Amino acid sequence: MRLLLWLHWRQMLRTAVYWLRVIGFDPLEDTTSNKLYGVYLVIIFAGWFVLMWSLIVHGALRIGEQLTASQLERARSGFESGFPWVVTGIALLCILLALRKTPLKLSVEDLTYIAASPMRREAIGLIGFAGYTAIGLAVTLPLTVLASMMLAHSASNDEIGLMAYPAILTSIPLVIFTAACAWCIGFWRLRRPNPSRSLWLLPLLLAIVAYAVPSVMTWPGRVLACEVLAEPARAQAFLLLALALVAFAGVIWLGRRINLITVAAELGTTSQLKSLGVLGRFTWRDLSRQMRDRERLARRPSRLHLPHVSGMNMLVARAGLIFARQPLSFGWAVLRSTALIAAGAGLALIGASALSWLFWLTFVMMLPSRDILSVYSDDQTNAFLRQFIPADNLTLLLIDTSLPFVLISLLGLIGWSIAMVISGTSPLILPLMLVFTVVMLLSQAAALVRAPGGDPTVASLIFTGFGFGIPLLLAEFTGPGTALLAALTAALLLAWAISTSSRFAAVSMGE
Amino acid sequence: MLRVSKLRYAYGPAQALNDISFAIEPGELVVLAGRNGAGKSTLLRCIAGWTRPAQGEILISGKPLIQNEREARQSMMLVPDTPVFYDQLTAWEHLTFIARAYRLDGWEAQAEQLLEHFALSAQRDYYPFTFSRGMQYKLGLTLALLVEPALLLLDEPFGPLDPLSSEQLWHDLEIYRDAGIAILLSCHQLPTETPPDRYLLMDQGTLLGDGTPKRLAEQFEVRGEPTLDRLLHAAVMEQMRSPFVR
Repeated sequence: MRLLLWLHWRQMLRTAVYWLRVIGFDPLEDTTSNKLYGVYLVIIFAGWFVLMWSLIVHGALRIGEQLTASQLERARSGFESGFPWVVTGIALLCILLALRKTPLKLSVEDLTYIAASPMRREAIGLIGFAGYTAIGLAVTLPLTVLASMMLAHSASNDEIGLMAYPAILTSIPLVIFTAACAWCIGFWRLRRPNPSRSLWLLPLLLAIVAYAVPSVMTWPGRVLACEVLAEPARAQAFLLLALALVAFAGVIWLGRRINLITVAAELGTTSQLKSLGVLGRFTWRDLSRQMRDRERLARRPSRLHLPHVSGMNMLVARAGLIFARQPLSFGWAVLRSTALIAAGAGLALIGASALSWLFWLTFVMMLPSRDILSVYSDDQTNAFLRQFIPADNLTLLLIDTSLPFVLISLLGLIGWSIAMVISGTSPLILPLMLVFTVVMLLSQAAALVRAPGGDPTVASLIFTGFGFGIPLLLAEFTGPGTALLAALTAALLLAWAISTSSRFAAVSMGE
Repeated sequence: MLRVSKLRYAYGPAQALNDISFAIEPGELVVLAGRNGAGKSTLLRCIAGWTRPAQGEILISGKPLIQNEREARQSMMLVPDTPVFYDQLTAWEHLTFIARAYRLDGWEAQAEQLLEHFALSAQRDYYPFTFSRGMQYKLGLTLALLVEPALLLLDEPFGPLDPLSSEQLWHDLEIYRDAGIAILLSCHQLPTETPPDRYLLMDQGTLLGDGTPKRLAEQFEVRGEPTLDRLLHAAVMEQMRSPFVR
């Protein structure tokens, strides 16, 4: 247990060192200037934390004070009836997540250590559970304090500082009880080498029970709600504490019975993600998504198949199948692109201010919808497969983006039909959307094949800025018709840039 | 089939290929050998059109590669040391996609035969990312052989394969060579004692020797059996003795 704690402590330190280095302080550097900088940072952060917390608490009190008696009554009644359901919902979500995958999210180092050590299994569970509960408490406690202060309007200033304590003391067993219930169910699933799939029905069953017998399922939330509203229910709070202790004992008992082979089998992707580092999920977003997608694909037999077509039709079918097998990311990319393009076309149509345009353009430049070009991007960066594709860069772009283009156009048409019925939107928005979609696809594709130095990020900024910047500038001064023409011209220029790109630049060595 | 003249390539200040010239005729099996970092993979990538050389000329079937890139690509295939596949397509779907994109006739029987030959039949409906490195290389080879290229380029084909598969692949390559395919492969060791038609020996981006094992043995004064190890060792030692090499 002590060794495992030490291992976790080391991991925490490594994380802390990373973050401290981000802000310029290296804890491993033994120099006076570095130490002084450390002291300076401690003072600054302590001051900042105290100041911020004071401001938030003061804000909460002010809100409470400004509520009229009737408003306060409504807020208290809303809190009393709504909060227990929120707690129940969170508990069901925790159970769902614990059932989806082992709650023991271990890293490669932990797995290696555990596999080679004779340690007791409940120790692994306890350490993980402590971390999980600590995070839950870190989120819950401040919110409980703020809610208590906002809704305890009637108290005098002297009492205000003390009135949150009962709520805090009640929220601790509530968090432990909620987390322990989820972990018990998660551990129960992990007792056998082949976890039962029928346990997936449990959250649904509990939701039905909650609907049928709300008084039982929402009871833990009601206990905390009473304490927050300064309506003490001490006996119930003690009962909650007793139940939390029982649930905690359940975590220990079931923790002894988990099958570590099942845990290890489920942790492959988690370990890989953890090995990417603290910011891995953000900085290596594509890689972490690829890991999850691969895990999902490998879990079940392939669905949908290539149709009996040949030549270019086969290339289109292949792109469609690749998109269809990643429905969530593709669906999200299409929706996001449609929303962006519709917003841009709408701005052109209403003659929006330059500032609105600037915001829109900045957003499109900084966060372009690259996912609708994922197949084209794969084709261009994977030289091995690219050599098998008998199509030039521009033809391949038309093939690889035909499905997202059709879907975005269809969504645009549906959106316009609805908007026309509601507010009589001009049909000019449709050609604008089509041309904007083409410009978006072409600018991202040009960034891939024309990237200076092989880095498409900067090229994407340049080509998106060029593709949309000039049409938007013209729209501001001359109207949507000119913007449409300018966007068409930009599209033609981008298409020319793609078709005449160096034949060899299309493929790189980035295997 | 392939003619390379005064090819140069540099990674920044480091010269990766330095005036490389050689030719390969149809039905020749040529082994490109050299120490790590000799420039073998870079040379193969330049020939396949994956990397643009700084200087020099590459002729495929008598036509410059840079001006006839699309035509040239259809007659040659490079299988890199670690081929990458689409995550969302199974092994069989990769074969289907390429065969139908090329409108190949009777491809199914050939594809099944190739999968059977490379012991991949049982995994045909699996995603290639679940394969081992050796199996991925075999799938890459299957894809390349399905389109029957006139020039086959293989980068370190024996590295990921087990000894039995390596030996089998070498015999397969001899059969393809006899069928008229020009084959250029890079490797450090041969899986059998049967020598290739020619060796290209490289070191530090320079072609040290080009010829049959016997001719190279004479050139580098190798005594005994002219194995790849001995030829490469002799060629590198001679280059190091050269006054022009610092």
